[in-house]
Amino acid sequence: MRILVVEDDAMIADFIGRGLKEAGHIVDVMANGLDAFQHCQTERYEAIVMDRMLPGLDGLEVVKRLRAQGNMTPVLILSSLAEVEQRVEGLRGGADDYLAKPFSLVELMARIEGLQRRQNQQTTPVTRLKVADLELDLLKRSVRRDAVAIELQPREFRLLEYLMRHADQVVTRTMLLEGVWDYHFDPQTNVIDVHISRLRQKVEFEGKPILLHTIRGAGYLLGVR
Amino acid sequence: MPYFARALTQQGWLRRQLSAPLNRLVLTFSFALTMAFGLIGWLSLAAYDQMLDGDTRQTVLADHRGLMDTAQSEGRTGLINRINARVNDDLNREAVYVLMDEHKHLLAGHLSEVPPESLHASGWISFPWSEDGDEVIAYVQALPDGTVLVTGHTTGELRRQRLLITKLGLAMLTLLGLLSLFLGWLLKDSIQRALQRSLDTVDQFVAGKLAARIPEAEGTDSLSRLGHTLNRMLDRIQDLVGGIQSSTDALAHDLRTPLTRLITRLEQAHQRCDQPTDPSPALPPVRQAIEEALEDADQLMLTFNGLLRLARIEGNDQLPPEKVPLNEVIQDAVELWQAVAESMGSSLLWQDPAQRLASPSLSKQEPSSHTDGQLPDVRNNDIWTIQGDRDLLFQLLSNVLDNAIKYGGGNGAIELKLHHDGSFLNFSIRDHGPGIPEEQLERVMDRFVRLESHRGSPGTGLGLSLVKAIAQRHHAELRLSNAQPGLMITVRFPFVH
Repeated sequence: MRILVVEDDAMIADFIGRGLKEAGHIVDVMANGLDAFQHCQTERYEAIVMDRMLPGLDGLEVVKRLRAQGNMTPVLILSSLAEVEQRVEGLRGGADDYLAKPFSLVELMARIEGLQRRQNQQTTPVTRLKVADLELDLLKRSVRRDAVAIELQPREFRLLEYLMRHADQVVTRTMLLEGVWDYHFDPQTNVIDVHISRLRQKVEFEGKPILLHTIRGAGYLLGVR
Repeated sequence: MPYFARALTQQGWLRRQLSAPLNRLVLTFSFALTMAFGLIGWLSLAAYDQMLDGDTRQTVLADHRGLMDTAQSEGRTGLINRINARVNDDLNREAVYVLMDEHKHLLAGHLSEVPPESLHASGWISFPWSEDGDEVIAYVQALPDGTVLVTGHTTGELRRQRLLITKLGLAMLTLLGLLSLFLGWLLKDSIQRALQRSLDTVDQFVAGKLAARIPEAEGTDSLSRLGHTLNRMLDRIQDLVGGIQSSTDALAHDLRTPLTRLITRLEQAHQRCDQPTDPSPALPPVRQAIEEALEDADQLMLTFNGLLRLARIEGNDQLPPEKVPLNEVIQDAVELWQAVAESMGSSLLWQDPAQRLASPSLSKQEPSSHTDGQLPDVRNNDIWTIQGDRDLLFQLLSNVLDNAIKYGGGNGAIELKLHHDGSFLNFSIRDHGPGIPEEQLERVMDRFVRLESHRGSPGTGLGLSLVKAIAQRHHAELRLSNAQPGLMITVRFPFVH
C-alpha cells in the first residue's frame, strides 16, 4: 500500500515510517502541512497518516482542503490533541479515523488496514464471515464452529462479528469499545478482557486450534497462528 | 377566579414581593409622600377652622352690639320688634336670637331650639342646633332691666364648606398616592430594565456563553458604568478561562510529544530484544526492565490523560447540546460492566424504569409506585432524556461502576436506580462494601486522593474527580453517603423539558 506520513517530529516520523515499511508498505514522509497538500496534487496515495499541529498548514486544514477538491484518500489523524471534542472535530473535518498520541504502532497499523478494508468493503456487502472452522451468518444471526451451533448474547455476537471482520489483525481495546459498544471513553480497568474471556469460553473447543489470541500490550487477534 | 385561586395558593407571594428592595423603596416613597401631604392638609384644615371660628364670633359680636344699641335707644319694645323683624328675614336665616325676661319667658326669637340651662351665664356659649351636626355659637348678655339677650350664628354653611374641602382634600390625597405609586412603579421598571440586560448577560456568561457582553450605555452615571465595569470583568474571566484552556492544550502537546517519543523508544528497544542478532547474556533482564519501564510509562500516560481530561471538562461550563436518554446509557454501561461484576462474585441490579412499566404484568405488581399524578408517562423515553454528552456520561457511569465493583464487589449485589421526581432525574448506585469514613466523603472527590486502605491497588486517584467534573458539566449534583453498609453515590440531573 502507498502511504503518506505527515509528521513534524522526525523521530516519530521515522518510527512510523520504518514500522510501515517493515509491514510491506511504500511510505513517503513529509514534515510540513503546506508541502504535503501540494504534494497530494500530483501524487496518489492509498492512505494518509496526518499529524494535526504542523508547520505550514494545520493537518486538519489539509484534510479539509483535500476533501473540498474531491480527494477521498482515506486519512488517519494521529495527534496529541486527543479529547473527544477534538476527535469529533477531526472526524467531522473529513478524517476517516483518529488516533491519539502516544500510540502503539500495532494499533496504528491495524487502523490503517481497517481504513483500507472499509474502502473496499463499501462495494460488496458481506453476509457470511468465516475464520478457519468458525462461521458467522449475519442474516440468520447464527454462529457455528465445526458444524456445532454456538449460542451468543447480542453483544457477544457483535463482538465476534467485529473481531471476524478484522480477522488476522490486531484489534485494540479502544477499537472494540468504539466499534462494538459505540462509546468513546477511557476505561480505568480492562473491562473488555472479561468479555473476551467469556467469548473465548464459547468459541474455543477442546482439541481445536486456538482462534482468539491476546496480544500483550496491544489487544486481541482472531485467526489461526 | 383562577387568578384568585392562584394568589391564595401562592402564599408568601406577598411576602416575597414586599421583601424585594425595589418594591419596598417604591412603597416607602409613596407612603411617605402621601403622609406628608396628608399632614399638610390636616394642618391647613385646622388653621382654616380657627380662622372661620374667629370670623363667626366677630359677626355675632357685631350683631349683638347692634341689638344692644337698639335696646338702649328704643327700650325693650324696640328690641323685641327688631328681633322679630330679623327672625322673619329670609336673608338672615343663619342668625339665632333669644330674648327672655328674668323668669326665662320668651319675649322674642327662637327659644324652643335653645337649651334653657345654658342661658344663665353670660359670655360665649355653643350648643347643637340641628341633627346634621350644626352648632350655634352665641353670645349671652343680661340687660340692665333683667332680660337676657342671646345672639348667635349657626355653623351650617361653614360645616358644608369644610366638608367639601375635606372631601376634596382626601380625593386629592388618594390621587396623589396612586400617582406616586404609579410613578414609583415606572421608575422601578426602568431601573429594572436597565439592570435586567446586565443580569441576563451575566447569566448567559455563567451558563457558558463566554462571548456574551452587556450593551454599554453612553453616560457617566452608575448604571452606565455598571455595564462597562461588568464587561471588563467578563473580559478578564474569559481571558483567564481561555488561558487555562490554551495552556492545557499546550501542555498536552508539549508533554505528550516527549512521552510519545519515550514510549516509542522503549518499544523500539523491546523489538530489538526480540531480534536475536546480538545474543548477549544480559538480554533477558534488559528485556524485563524495558517491559516494566513501558508499564510505568503507560501508567504515567494514563494519569496524564486523566488530568488533561479533567482540566478540559472543568474548563468548559457549557452544557453539551445533545439529547441523551440516560436510561439507555445506564443500560449500556450495566451491560458492559455486568461481566466484570460477575467475575468478582457480585452482580449489578438494574431495571430500566422505561422498560419496567412497559410490561403490564410487572406494573400490576407495583401499583403506581412511579406513576404519581403529576409525573409524565414513564414509558415515554423522553422523560428519561437529559441534555448532555453521551460519552462523558458513559465515562461517569464507568467510573462509579468500576469503583463499586473494585471496593464493594466482594460483598454482594450492587444496586443501580434511576427515578424521576418531576424536575430532576436521580441516579443512584449503592454497593455493600466497607463504604468511606464520614470525614473522608468530601475529600475523596478531590484529585489524587485515595483512601489509605486502597493505596496498594491500581488506580490513578482521578476516578471520582472525573465523576465530579462530569456531573458539574451536566449541572448535576453529586452526593456521596454511607448507606451502612456500603457507599451510595447519587447524581441528581436537572430535567429540562
